[in-house]
Amino acid sequence: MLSALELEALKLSAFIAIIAVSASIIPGIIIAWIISKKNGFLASILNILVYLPLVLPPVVIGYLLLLLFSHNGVIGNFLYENFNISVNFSWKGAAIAAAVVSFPLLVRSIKLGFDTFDSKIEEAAYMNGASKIDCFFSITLPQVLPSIITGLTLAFARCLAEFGATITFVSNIPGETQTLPLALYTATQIPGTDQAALRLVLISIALAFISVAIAEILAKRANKRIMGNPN
Amino acid sequence: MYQNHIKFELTQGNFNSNIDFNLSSDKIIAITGLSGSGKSTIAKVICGLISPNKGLIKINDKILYCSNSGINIAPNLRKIGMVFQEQRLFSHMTVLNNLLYGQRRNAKLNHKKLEKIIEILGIKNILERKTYNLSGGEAQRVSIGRALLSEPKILILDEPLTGLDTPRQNKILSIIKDINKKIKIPILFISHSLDEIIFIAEKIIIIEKGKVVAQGPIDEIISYKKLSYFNKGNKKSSLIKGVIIEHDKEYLSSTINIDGVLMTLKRINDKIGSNQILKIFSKDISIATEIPTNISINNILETKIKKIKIEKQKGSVDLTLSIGKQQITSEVTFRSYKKLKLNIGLQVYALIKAVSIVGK
Repeated sequence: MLSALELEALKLSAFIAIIAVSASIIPGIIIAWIISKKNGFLASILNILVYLPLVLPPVVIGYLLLLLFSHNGVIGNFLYENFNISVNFSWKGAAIAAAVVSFPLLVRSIKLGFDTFDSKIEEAAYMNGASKIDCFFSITLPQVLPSIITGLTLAFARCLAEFGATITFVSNIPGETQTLPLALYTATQIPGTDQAALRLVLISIALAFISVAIAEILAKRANKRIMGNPN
Repeated sequence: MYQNHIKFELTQGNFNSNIDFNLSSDKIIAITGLSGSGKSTIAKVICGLISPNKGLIKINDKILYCSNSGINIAPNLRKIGMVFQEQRLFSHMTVLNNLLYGQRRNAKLNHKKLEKIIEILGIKNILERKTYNLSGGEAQRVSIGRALLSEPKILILDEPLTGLDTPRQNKILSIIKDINKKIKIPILFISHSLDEIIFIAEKIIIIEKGKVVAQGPIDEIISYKKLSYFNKGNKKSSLIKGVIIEHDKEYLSSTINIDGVLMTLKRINDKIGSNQILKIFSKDISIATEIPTNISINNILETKIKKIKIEKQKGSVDLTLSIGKQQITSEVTFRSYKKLKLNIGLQVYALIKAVSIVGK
């Protein structure tokens, strides 16, 4: 069975990933829609900004978050002064780091859905009396659902794998910010803990496998609902 | 009677539309023209999917667009039932939910009307199916139903028969006629196919290069000179009108009077005195300078050559011949044209191999 420390790291990993992905859904859909449909200068800049975390070294992101969210940073100061919230050295900071690094994967996938969606169907919805907002929720969103599910899966998996930005931003505190990869890192730093490290490796693989498998099943179901074939 | 007025100017790239026509209610009106003449643009402007540069769109006495007063009603508030060329069904819903999509947004659920439309369209046994499983004909019937249930003031069908085989095309055409009769809604039927529009429409509007070049009831419009080029596969043909004057039980034939010229056809199932529109393919008319004898062809008409058009590339010649006040076109080879020494004004015999009845 799992040790108390392993269980704690596993729970924390899953919790942080779920929080990070849940918080990303709505902004992810909005930004994906903007960069898919708009061609202006601002949309192009937004497009590049969204993809930056994908190519920047995670340590750069971690350090930038540290600068922004510390009590002297722009956002950190605002949160602390107004809401008495501090994200430093806490799971909240870990969730922010996970959300930032996984965001490009979420947006990319949803954008692809909007890109390939035949917007002529929207014209048919308008002619049936649907307003633009009504059409977005009743037609567009259900039609791109498979892409949203795929995006959520990729983002969730990326959150589980997050290491560099997290350790730079919120350090490695057991029970607070020590997710599975960070616990594994700790184990590899202490002599004579090879077996513990291997156990953490296996837990990581199992968690990744299960989450991707569940997501695949969901995506196939959603596809079948729309196109009649699961692929 | 409600008035519908469509008038607009629109520039798209280097294509200019300048359209102006009136429609009275309750009829099937066809808009026809060659591909690229700007037929579909008219539908999109009426729907509000494209905004014209200026103009006035009035449907059912209600102004939907007016450039002078700055009115431009959003497409979803225009109450126009639109059936597009390609099927645009909502694939994440069942057939029934597709039908109800427009209904829910425009009126209270009216079970009687829903059942009536399902009945006319013959889609009762596919209501629970998902739309990706439907055949082309079924999908188009569902599209028509969905449009009708959104309580439209006018139904627009843009080439609704594209991609369907002939029996299914005929089925949809009959359904459209049925709808017009039972639901009393004006229908704008856009098609490039002469056969379709003659079968279905009471009035025709012909569009060329973004302009209305002719409009009127079918029997007035059939003499329009370029109508013969609107056929599938560019098979040239002529349309003429006539009246049935006699049925012959022994020979199973009917006689038609075309401005005093008589033609005998296979038996037509219609009343004596009824008007008929006949179609004759240009290749089905041969020319002789003397009356031939011992020949199977029944219809040998004495006529005059009114016009000669030589198609050098094809090696053929189009001859315009007069029949009463009407005209038919015969296509002969350049070789025959030379051999027979044909001239404008020459009296010849038109040997008509085949005639079909295409409308009333």
